[in-house]
Amino acid sequence: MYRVARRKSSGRTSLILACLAAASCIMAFVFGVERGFEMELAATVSQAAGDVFNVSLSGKYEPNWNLFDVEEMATIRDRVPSAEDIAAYSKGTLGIDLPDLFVPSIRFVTSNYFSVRGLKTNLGRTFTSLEEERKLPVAVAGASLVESGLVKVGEVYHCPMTGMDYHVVGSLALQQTNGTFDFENRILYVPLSLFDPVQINDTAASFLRANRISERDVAYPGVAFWVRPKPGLVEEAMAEIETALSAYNDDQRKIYISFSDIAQLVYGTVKEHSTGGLVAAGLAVLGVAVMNSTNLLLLDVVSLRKKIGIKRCIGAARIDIAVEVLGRTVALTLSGIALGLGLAFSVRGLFEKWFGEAVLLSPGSILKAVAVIVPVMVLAGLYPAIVSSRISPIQAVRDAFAWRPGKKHLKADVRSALAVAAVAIGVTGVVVMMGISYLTQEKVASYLKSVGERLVLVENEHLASQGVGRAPEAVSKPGSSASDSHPPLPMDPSLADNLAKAVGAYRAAWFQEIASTVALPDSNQVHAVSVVACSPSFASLRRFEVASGRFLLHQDDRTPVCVLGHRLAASIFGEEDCVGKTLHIGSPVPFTVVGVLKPRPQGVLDLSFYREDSVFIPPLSMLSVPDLASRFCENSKILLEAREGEKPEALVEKTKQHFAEEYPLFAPPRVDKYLRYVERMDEIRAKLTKVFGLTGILAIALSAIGVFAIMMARVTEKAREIGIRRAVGASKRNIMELYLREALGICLPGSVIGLVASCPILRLLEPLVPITFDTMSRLAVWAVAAGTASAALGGLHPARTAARTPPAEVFRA
Amino acid sequence: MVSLIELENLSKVYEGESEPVHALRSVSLTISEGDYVAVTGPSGSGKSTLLNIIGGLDTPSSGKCVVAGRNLPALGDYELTRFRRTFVGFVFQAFNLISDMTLVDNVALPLYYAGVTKRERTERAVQALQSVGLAKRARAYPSSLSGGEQQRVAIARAIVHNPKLLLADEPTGNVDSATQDRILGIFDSINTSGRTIVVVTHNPVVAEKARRVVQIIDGVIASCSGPLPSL
Ligand SMILES: Nc1ncnc2c1ncn2[C@@H]1O[C@H](COP(=O)(O)OP(=O)(O)OP(=O)(O)O)[C@@H](O)[C@H]1O
Ligand SMILES: [Mg+2]
Repeated sequence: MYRVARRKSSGRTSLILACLAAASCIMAFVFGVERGFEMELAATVSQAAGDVFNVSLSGKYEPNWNLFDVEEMATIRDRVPSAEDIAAYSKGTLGIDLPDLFVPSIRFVTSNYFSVRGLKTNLGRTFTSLEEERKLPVAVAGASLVESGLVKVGEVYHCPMTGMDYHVVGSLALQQTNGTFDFENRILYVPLSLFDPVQINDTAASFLRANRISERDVAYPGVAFWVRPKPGLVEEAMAEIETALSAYNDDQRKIYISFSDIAQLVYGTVKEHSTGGLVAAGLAVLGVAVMNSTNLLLLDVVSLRKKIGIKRCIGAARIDIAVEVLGRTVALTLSGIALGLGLAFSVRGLFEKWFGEAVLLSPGSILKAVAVIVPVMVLAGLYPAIVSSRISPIQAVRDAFAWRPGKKHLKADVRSALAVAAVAIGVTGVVVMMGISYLTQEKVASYLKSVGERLVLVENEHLASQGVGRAPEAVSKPGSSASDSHPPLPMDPSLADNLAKAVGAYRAAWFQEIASTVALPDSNQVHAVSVVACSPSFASLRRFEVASGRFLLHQDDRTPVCVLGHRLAASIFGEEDCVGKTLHIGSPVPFTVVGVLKPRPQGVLDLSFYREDSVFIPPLSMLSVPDLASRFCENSKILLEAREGEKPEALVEKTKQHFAEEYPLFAPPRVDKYLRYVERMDEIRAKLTKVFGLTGILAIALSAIGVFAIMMARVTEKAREIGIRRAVGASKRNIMELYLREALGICLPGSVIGLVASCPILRLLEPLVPITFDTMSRLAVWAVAAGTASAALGGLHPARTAARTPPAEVFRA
Repeated sequence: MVSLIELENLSKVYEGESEPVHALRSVSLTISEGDYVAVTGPSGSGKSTLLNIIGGLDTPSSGKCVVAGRNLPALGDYELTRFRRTFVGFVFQAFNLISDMTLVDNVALPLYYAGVTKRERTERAVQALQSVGLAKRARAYPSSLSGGEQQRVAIARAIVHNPKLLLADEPTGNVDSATQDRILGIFDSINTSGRTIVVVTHNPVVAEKARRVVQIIDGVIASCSGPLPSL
């Protein structure tokens, strides 16, 4: 028996090491993958934004900057870092936006703004640093401002917002804004040096007051950076910006760096969820590992109590014993971490290949992992240390295993509780992971449903290639590349139906988005909107639903009617029903509202903001608005929907082929599945499910280790009792059953606790997707399966050992 | 002679499951410094209990137990530890050496907890081993020693810190008669160097060596050679 005990003790050390190694390996991976995601996000964003990061400083403050507050505004001007502050790794520029409720929006920028953002002029020039230095009232206009005739290049523009007269020296080429809000094209850029808090307060603030915009409303300016990191120095640039901006931080506001791009929105959402899940997975493994380690340390204390007693006899104080045990814990933790990191480095390649995502085991991510594990383990080691320090020296003169009959085994209840907790955490891990996987699956399905899973988008290449903030070079520099030898295909509304017939699509819609403004006939309040001219089928393809009135009909074409997005309707008309009311679109052309859309369904991430903020008009009605007529068909697009059962990929191929055959003289339009991002999200989900599966298995394996250790200790402690049972006639099978049942007695409560505990965690991680009964029952199956698996894995060997205990054990001391 | 141990009406009751076990019943005994006392009696009579209480391992249920001027039941855990560290050496029937430490480390352990520097520790431990004739095996591990040798190491550990009092519970219970003689010889020389020894034994040969023999039956002192407790 003594020999058995000693062997078990060295086995325990390796079990603790295994637990800690697994935990640190997983933690390193978690932080490594998180870092990898971050890098990929940065790469995606820089790709989409033409290597320009938008660092937004506004909107995240409590309190917001107040345009009415001169001092506050002076602080902004004085404390915002200059472009030089961030010049080591990036070219940067600063801008301050006045509230953008009015056209034009005013943006105060440094003269390098245009080069940093890669904006090209199509008329005139941008302003120079000299003009900026001398505070000359010059301005550069966004494309829509010039196109709508509001601002003219070469003339003086009187801005009602700032009360200043600006000499307009140039206008920018039209920027494609990913089909969302056409904000960028309606900006009037003026030198940053003209940002004078007192004057702003005098004019802009009183202008806002006059327009009944209250201080508490939206009267705060936006401050933003645009930063173009030097190639390959994205991280350094971000760090530099962070340092430069930290001068801002005080008690009230903290700098919040955000990327303002669609790519970010998509990728950020995915990242947020996946890293949430990953961290949950890592914590589950860590939790199980820690519970087990505590339990194993406790078992150590139990089996070493004689040794501890001897030490106490010969003069060791309580604190000496506690320090010894804690020291052992720390040593074990450090070796476990070393082992785990070694493991992480050696299987990283394999993991990356299998997972398909970069794992960056940077010093930072490793440090994070260590910083999580060590304190947790020290805390976990505290309890065994205290227990061991309380062991009485009298243990030295007692027989190590002949515990007085009837007396409880040392901390047996605590040990069982820890084992149950370990299983519960393991089960929680498995259930949360499976839950996230199920819920994301549902979410992706609901996205697809809300967007239309069989949609294909056709657009001209020069539009598709434009990123945010990049000038449409194909337009401004014709003939410079091979594809420009063919002109873009003019896509008029009739092409849509013909195309649908030719490629056998279920249906098609033509649409075009243009930035413009709307106003009530008797009001001077102008709303910036995106006007979407579209065929009637657009609504059904995009799964738009009408809240009141109706959507556009075929017979509406050429008539001045419109349908409003619900947010736009609310901001113009308030709560009242606006069907039948009249609106001026662009220049004073009256349109009658025939319908209002429903808001997008709750919980659905829909990147097409225009559902909310747009005016929808029939295609040819566009021609009646002079501003818009000149741009008819300029960037029109066609949405195709595949037939039920047909793969959108097949439709993409057919359409491409059709263009190649029928329109060989035109540059082939880009044809692709609509909303690729949903697919990307699904890919990531699939990947995460893999990782979750792996960590789930690991968590359960670790729980099994805990069950194994506790059961083994129990079997050893009860060897005599088992011997007695055998002596009085219990069969091996009886004993085996007895201990297997005991293992299940640890694991099934663990399952239940785990299942219950994972519900709030799931709600926290996926607040938008409801947990259905169906999902719940599937999760319950997982919970029970996980619990049973750990009971079987961990309990089998101890139960067999118990069954093999010879009846003669009764007679041994 | 100065008395080192004074027990007065010492009782120990163990709360058993069915009924309390009276291990010691109102024991009074005085042991003076430099004495060599053997405690004998039938099994279960309370000998070990008495020894454990004197050594500060166990606490009496009632009564007085003053050892080296300290009233043990009144001491806290840390003071009891200090008491054991400085005044008491224990020799157990089962040797109780720590198996994963060398002999010299085993012997030096009390000094380690007393905060003695490593060099001095080793020096004194080797000296102690020398006094039991095992200095040559200093680097060996306990498992490579015979039972008698292990017990000698245990004695070396018990005296390494120069305790006033040596407590031994059946020190010869697990060894043959030749080893027993050798151990008794060591005890003799320890006693002549001025240390007090209390040894619990069943063995009349061992008891004979002592200057006084105290017999306990059923938790009560049945007979006591040498000076009786002063009342
Ligand atoms: N922890 C304990 N709990 C309950 N009863 C105890 C405990 N320790 C000792 N006893 C009881 O106290 C009595 C005295 O025990 P003790 O160990 O002192 O006897 P002993 O004289 O040393 O016997 P032996 O010669 O067999 O070693 C015995 O009846 C024993 O059963
Ligand atoms: Mg005894």
